[in-house]
Amino acid sequence: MLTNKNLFFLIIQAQIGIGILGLPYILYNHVQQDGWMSLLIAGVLAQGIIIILVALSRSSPKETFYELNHRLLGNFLAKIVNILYVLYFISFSMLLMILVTDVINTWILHQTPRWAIILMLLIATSYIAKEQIVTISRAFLFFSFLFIVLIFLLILVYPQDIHFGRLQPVGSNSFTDIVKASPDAFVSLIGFELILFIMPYIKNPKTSLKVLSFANLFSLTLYIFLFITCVISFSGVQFSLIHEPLLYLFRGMSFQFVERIDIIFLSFWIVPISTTLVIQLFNASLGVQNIFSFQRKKSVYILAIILLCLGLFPISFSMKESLSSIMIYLNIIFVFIFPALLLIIAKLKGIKG
Amino acid sequence: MKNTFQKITLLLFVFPLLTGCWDQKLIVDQEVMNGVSFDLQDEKVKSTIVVLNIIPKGTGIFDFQNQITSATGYSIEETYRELRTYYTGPLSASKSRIVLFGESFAKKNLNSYLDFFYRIPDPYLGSKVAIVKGAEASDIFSLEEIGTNPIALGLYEIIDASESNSIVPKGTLNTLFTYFNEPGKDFILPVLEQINGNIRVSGAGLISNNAYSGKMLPIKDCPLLLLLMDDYGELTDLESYLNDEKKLNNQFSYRVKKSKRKLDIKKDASGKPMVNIHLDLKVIIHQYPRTEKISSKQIKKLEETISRDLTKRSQSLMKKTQKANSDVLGIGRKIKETDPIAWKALDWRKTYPSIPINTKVDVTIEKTGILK
Amino acid sequence: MAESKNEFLSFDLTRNLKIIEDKMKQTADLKRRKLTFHGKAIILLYLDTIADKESIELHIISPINKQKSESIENTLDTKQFSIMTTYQDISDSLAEGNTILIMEDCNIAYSITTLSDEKRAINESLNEKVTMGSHDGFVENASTNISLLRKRLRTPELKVEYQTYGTETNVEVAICYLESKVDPTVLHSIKSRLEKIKNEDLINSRQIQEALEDYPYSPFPQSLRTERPDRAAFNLLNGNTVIFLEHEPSALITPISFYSFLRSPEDYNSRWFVNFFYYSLRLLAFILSVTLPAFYIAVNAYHSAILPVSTFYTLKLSVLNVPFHPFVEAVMMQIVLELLKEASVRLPSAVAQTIGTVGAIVIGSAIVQTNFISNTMVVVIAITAVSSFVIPIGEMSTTIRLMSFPLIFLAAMFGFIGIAFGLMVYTTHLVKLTSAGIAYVEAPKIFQSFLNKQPKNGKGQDTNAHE
Repeated sequence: MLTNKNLFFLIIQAQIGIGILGLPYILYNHVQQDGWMSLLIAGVLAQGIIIILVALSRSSPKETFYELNHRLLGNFLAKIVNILYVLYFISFSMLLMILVTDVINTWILHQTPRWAIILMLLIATSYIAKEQIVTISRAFLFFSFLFIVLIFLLILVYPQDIHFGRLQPVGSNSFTDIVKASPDAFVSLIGFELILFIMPYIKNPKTSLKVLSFANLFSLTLYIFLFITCVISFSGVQFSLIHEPLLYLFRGMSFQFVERIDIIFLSFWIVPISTTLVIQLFNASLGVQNIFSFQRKKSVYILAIILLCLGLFPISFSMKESLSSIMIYLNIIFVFIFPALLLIIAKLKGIKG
Repeated sequence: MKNTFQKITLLLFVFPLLTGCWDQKLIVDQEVMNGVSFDLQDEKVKSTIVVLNIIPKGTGIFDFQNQITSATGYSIEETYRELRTYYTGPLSASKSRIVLFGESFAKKNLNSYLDFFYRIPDPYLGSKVAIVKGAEASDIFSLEEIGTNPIALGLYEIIDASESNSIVPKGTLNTLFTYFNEPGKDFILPVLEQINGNIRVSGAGLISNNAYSGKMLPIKDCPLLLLLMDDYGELTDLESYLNDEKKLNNQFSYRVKKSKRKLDIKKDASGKPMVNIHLDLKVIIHQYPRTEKISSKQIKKLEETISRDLTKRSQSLMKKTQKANSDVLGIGRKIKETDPIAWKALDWRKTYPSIPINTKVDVTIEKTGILK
Repeated sequence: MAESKNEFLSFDLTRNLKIIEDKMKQTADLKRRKLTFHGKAIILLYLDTIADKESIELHIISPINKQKSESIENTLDTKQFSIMTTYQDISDSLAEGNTILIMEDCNIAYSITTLSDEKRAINESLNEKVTMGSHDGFVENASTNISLLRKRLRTPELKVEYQTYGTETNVEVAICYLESKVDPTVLHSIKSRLEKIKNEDLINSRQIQEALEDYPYSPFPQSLRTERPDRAAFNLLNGNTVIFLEHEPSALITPISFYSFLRSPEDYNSRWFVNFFYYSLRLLAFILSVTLPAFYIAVNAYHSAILPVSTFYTLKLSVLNVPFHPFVEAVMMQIVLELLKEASVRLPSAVAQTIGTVGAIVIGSAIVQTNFISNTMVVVIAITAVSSFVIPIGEMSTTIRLMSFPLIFLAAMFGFIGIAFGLMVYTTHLVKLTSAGIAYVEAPKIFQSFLNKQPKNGKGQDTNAHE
């Protein structure tokens, strides 16, 4: 059973991943130094959704989301919804894999073909995803060591050449602009939807809302800290040029023993990125298990093979761009709108946990 | 049986990986440039690079040798392509320690030339950058070594030392990238000079609008400028004359322990900014022309002397930067941050040389060394 | 012989003897001795090779000859004996080293314990040496071993259960635990696992280990084999179970946590900061021996950009004339090292020293001079080996040294990213493992274990060992 600690690490590992590399860049290009406000708004939005999701999952704490659908929507409709969810998770994983290989190809392994990286990624993640959720969460706890490393490295930026004034002027963008940028920030906070699928495994479901809120707060604080660190270290035009500000931040630092932390950091940051993929695979595999009544282990393998096949397709730059922009809306539909609807249905039907 | 099957499938997945090692760059094959210099020659860029070769001579004994090559072309990339052909392995800038600009090259818009270093992930951004005065930048490399260091590493050390001596602020290719794109803030680069076969940092070159203005501050003024910039190093030493008499052995020097800068920007009636800089220094006396007891009355007097001297000098320093149109203090940036509307109305490049800048330096002597 | 399996003794002495001899397959070391006791013929049967003849002479023959008492029971009162009625019991008892006494016209036999105690004296364990702490070690005798435990834990709570395993070996296995501390479900699962190998012939404790382990294919040992009674007693106190196999000079401790393998009993005998230091050192050793060669290869083949310029040239200088890929170098050097180690283990200690010298001086320096393997690689592999030897338990030490190979491979393929993936899988594997149903690697408990007072399962401060 998942203790509060396990749940916390599961959620932060699901939330923090590839997004952290590019998030400051996206925000800065929208609203410049006011990006942290967009982040805050996204955080509040995420908190609202967490409340909805927890309420929904609490309405029947012994069932996963897929089973809940069956009860609330009837078998036929539920099956369609479940398939859609599985497809959503697959496309999310797909986008993730594309982004990862992209970053790796530009920063470290320039010639390594995409399929090799994807293959590695899938072997490692499916090895983890096939385990039980408790094992996954305990492994994630160990991986969370990397967050400490990240925070430590970010603190090391401060003695460098920074200028706090770059945060000024505060609020130079209109409020609507700031709100408009928040969906981009919201994407990076995605991951807490996991709660819908692991409710039956949680030891004390009553505290889950608190744990989720803390996890969300942690991720949000980390993002804001990162964004502020980036703003104060990069000058305006420079910031708007750099795709992966986090890595560039580390590229500029050098120490006595290590000259290029960005390389080491990105190499090991693969781990938190993979954990996001693990969660997606886990969610999807539960769905496959539910729809086709396979063993979950087997469904993970099947999903991994599907993803590998998808990863072999050549993907153009424009396809990647359009996939990521579609994904923003899909996220909101699948993580926010649909569960909210379902909650209303559940309330109407008067189901209580 | 099932287990065997699983293992076989796993192996089938793993075997294709054996064809790999796509990105392998063995350390043996690497040729890394240690120093790069750029000069302008007949409206073309002349790049010169130094590659340090190590020659093993038995266990633990080795010799080094600089392989210096140059190429000219219309872009840095073009020269790089030519330079590559001189070397045995793939050439990378991942270990470059120093980037030198010839004086004429430095007067070009540096930002657009250095894009080569920033756009690809390989080059090392911790390299020091300097301007070479009086000769072509590539000539410096022909010195082969500085002290016991190979030339490129030696240059790095020299500039590093001048940074801790508060002659130039800490700067690398990375900080340059930041300042290139920072509106309302200019920077300074160390200027190197070759004197009798030795190289020294002879001053700080004022950069205006990403190009060298041609104006250089002498070493004795640099620490004060750095104090005004609030970006000083570990050792900040200054001198003044006793009783303002410029004669032999009449100088006393002091080390700045603590400095507090206040930068005030006001607007006059026409919306033109007025700048007040107040510098509050805590110093210790470092050297005094006479080995005698300095009374507290004398200390008061010294404090006044220093304050007066530094105020005067800082005034003229600011004038110099205005003449060079190099806003090293980042006054424009400050206006941009605190008063964005006013900033938009200003054409800073035109405004900066003409704005009034008042400086005031207050000095407190905290100690007189280990002697009273 | 199936028909006589449960056959009872008859009153006919000659028939009895014949059947017993048949049962013992007419083995040549079955000796018989004829005595008379109050006019009746008495036959003593024993296996010459394992029975203690002096004890037979002293405790059986001489009292009988003296004919002190009427009944045979009273005559034998100084010696422990039991009464046997079937041929099967008698032959089993003979095989265990007992002496059988059969009387004329009597359908019962007496089995007298006369097993010669040819045990090794209690010596210091060779494989788990300590500088501080007791110097006794387990021997090849379960009851002696248990006595060593009893000396440390003088409590009626210490419970010992004997079970006999194997149709041919008939070897005793002792399960010891503290009734008050042990988790009943864990104990139950251990017993039921052992039950499964009831009919297997046990020769090595590895067989028990395999039965106990949840993941027999995992490279990591999930039960701790120790030769030190203090370690066993310590684990008993923590509620773990200790299993002895007769004739095996070691105890198996289960369930066990991964961190216990990094612990030496002398840690608990030291001041807390010494304890903490050595524990941290071993954790470091663990991380180093798994990752260092891989890290070196990744730097050498992919990421030389991370090296400071002076290190870069030092490294370049050392590999300048080496014809091999660093991966090949590393594998070659690892193999050389394992060969040297293996050679010195098998040889008498005097010769082993020579091997050490040959290895260190001749191979080590010559291999560098001939430019087969670079200086740095020799250093890296040497550090790896030394760090793996720091791990107090030999089994784990070998495991982690071998665990570096897959990482070396991955590093040669993908550089740091390969290492990251490898470590990710390693961590998950370790976290997945259970030992008798208890988690093998727990989340690190930061401040608990290096304090000597309340060590919990030997766990301790951990800086996420595998990242």
